[in-house]
Amino acid sequence: MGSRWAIESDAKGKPVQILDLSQPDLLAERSIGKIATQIDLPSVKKLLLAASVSEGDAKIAQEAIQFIDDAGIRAVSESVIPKGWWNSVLWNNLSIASQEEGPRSFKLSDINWIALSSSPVLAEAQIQEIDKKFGHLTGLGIKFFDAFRFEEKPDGGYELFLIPEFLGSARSGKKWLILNIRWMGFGSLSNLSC
Amino acid sequence: MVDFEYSMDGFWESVELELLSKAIGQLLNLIPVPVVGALLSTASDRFFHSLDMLYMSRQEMALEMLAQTTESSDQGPWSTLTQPQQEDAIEYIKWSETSILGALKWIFKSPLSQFRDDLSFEREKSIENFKWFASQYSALNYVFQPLNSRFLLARSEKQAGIFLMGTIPFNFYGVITSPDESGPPQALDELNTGAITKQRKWFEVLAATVIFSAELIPNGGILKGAFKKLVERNVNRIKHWESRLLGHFKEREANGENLKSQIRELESQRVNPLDITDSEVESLIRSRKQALGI
Repeated sequence: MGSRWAIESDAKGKPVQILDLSQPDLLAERSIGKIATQIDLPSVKKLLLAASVSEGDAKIAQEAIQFIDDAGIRAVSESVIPKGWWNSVLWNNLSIASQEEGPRSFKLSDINWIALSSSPVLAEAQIQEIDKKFGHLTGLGIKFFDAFRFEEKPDGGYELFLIPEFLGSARSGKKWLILNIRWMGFGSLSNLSC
Repeated sequence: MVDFEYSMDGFWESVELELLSKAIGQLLNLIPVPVVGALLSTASDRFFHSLDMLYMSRQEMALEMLAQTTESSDQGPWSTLTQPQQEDAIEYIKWSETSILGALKWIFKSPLSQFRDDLSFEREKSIENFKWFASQYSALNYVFQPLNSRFLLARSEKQAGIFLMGTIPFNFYGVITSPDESGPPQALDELNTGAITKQRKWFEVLAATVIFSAELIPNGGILKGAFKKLVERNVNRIKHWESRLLGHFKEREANGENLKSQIRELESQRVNPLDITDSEVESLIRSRKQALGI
């Protein structure tokens, strides 16, 4: 049906589902964001003003602009990424922990962020709860933060990658992020047409 | 994408993902070391943002197909579905796009009624926008070619491209508007290929940097909240419209028109790292059709 959809019908020819055949599997590593060393505050202000078309929006925008103008924002106006930031991190990865310079590349799982939390017991309990309630969605849950890697760029900023090891569950046939899309269940489908 | 037997599945799956995102946000509140919170928060935010945009682009394309089918009765791209099936599909997709809080609005109006009202609103806006072009015509010597009631190809010496006729004039950074900024937004710029993509790429870096920085500043949530609610939402809104146009182009291409360059341009303007290119989509669809025996 159309250029990218298919209809699954039951034995009587009644449509049961519409499938989006173009939904990607997301199995390859990909860059999903870049953190610059500088934050372009004039542009942020300009964008906030341009976006505030209603009275309510204008109030929110003004508060944010006021906030930017306050002393707090100066903390990041020189360099977004704090100098020696890696020294305040508790590393799981000892090779990173022993370095004098910041890591060129690291995974979020290299950071022992649970131990750094204000309540490791509560953090652990929340992770278990997330895994129990939502693990079926993506195979995320406890492994969610294992899926990201940061890499330092020549200009000192960092690039964020979604890494394929995390996506391995999709390869083994486990349902992975098929929100609204029934594609992964195609093995059980019968009467299909485009 | 649509399940005719379990009409609320799309909504519940969407709610689950929203709850997951919120649960992870709560977890991050337990981390007192700002730079660690910033790294985790940025990763989480960019992932859920890209994923949301990926699903929304597919849903908006499907809604455009349903809009075209509704408008052209038996000739539309989804006309193999009966009228009740089309309505079920609209309901399903509209629910799939709904957030937990947003669901409250369906108490007062059904998603199907909303879809019809939206189409009606878009037709009204189209007429207004056409009038705007007519008023500009003598001065700027535009040549028009309506693609449907929502999209218009308009060319003059100073400006050429596809205009989004079904929406309000939209003057916003990253969106090119008419010369006096009072006309409809422009989705494709034929005279400056790549210009919109360049702006969008710049914007994505800015967004990630704002999210990261907000975690390092006391009460940075004010900045993050305003940026997400006002700025990113508006960029997303125009991207949803461009997804509809992309769906429209794909159908025209399937009917024999050569629109490769326009499709490539619209795809690059998405700047969504989770999405794939047109040639990858075609290859994926081919292999899936082969696997499914269709």
